[in-house]
Amino acid sequence: MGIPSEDELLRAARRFDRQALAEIYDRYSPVLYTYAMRLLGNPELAEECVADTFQRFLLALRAGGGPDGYLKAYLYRIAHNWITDLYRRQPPQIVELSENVAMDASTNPENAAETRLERERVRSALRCLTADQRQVIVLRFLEELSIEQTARALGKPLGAVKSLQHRALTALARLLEDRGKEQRL
Amino acid sequence: MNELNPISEAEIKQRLQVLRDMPQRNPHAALEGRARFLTQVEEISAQAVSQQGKQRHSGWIEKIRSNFIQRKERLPMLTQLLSVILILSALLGGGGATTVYASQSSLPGDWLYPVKIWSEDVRSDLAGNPSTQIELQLQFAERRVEELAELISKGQPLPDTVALRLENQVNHALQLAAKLQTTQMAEELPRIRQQLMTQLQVMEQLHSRDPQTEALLTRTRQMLQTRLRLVEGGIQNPDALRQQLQQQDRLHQQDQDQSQQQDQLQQQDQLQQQDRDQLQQQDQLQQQERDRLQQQDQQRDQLRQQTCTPQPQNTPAGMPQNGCCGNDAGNHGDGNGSGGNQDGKGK
Repeated sequence: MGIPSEDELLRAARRFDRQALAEIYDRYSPVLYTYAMRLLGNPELAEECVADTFQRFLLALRAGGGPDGYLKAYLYRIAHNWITDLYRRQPPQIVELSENVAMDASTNPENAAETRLERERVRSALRCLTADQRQVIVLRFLEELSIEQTARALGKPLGAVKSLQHRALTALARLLEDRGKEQRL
Repeated sequence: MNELNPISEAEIKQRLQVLRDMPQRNPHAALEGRARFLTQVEEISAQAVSQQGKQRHSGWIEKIRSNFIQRKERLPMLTQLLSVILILSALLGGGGATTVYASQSSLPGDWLYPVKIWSEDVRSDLAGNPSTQIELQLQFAERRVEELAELISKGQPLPDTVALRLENQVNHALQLAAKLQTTQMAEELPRIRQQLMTQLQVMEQLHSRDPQTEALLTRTRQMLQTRLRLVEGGIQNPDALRQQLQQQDRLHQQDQDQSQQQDQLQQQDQLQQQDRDQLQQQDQLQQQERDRLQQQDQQRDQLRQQTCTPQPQNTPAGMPQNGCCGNDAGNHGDGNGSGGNQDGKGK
């Protein structure tokens, strides 16, 4: 028997098939973790986001809800809403240096510090976008979802997503430029 | 995409790469997360089985109740949206759900835009929890900013109503927050601040060559800046924010009262004017009547003069003249033979 498709997994998950649910977790939790890390830059918060996303998914299944298809897009949407709520609840926080530098430890410390600063600049610019703009940028250019998959994740028509993407890129360009100027000053 | 200046789209994508490589996930945390998830699966599936058992006993009523009531607890937003769709479906004969869904991406000026606003109002009315109400007001305010951005990008004029609605929604969120207990307020204000900052960032990117549009954008930015300062002050001192909002409320109330008083005075003026007009009309009618009677008297006098014969010299003073004005004798009876009432007042 080959690898089950997303639809097969979803059908089994609706019957609370433990194996199918475990498979869903193993398949999607790594990408959701990376997604949350990219936006939050904090491993604990990213783990919390993943845990809450899967819990909401289970509760939706129990209530007879959940996705009709496109499970991955559905999970991205829950994680996105979780992060947006967090942004609204909490002001921007300073990220611990050690957590980001760990990956760059083998490289030149100056380069590592510069990478960390650039990452924070980009993250901060993303945070200043509207929730939908942020999600379209991350899904399209970091998670590399197609425009159709992004439209499903956002629950919007294709045309609206294209227009949103354009606006998001324009806004992000200005934000990055502004932050560049601030940095130079 | 040529509008991206000075950073190009390619450069943005390049700069986003810095977020591509993330530190590896901690394997212990990942395993713990998985174990926690599987425990939840066990618990929730056990509850689901237990509920199914109960449902088998209590029949279809219990099934319907559990479907609706559980969803209401777990997914309040979905339930509200469902309510809106059901109401609109009933009103629009089944096509309501599609209409409401389609309206959500509409812009001011579109024929579906009023449906979008209406569905927002209904959702807002259905929200019982103040925190949810604040959340909704912020969401709707964000939509207004998105609409302004989209209209600008399409080169369409900006209706004042969008900016006005944005201001009302931000104000409403603040008023709701100010009515909360201090601890709850302290949780809500940073959320509002974050949202206002994001909206302001977006607004600062919007510009137009049309002076009227630019003026509206400037006013909206100023409004957001004022509210942001208010919220920041409120985070430091919630009571001060409450007082400021109450003061604004009072001023607003006073404005409304003054406006009502002015309306009342205007109404009184109008009523007095109407009275004056009526009296004038009555005067005119009376004057017309007097003129008419005067004319009648003059005609009668003329007639009398024409028909009267000369009186003999020995007729006693005060006696009616024979064969002349006999019909008038009883009416006038003044004995002077002058032809009676000259001014018509006696009539």
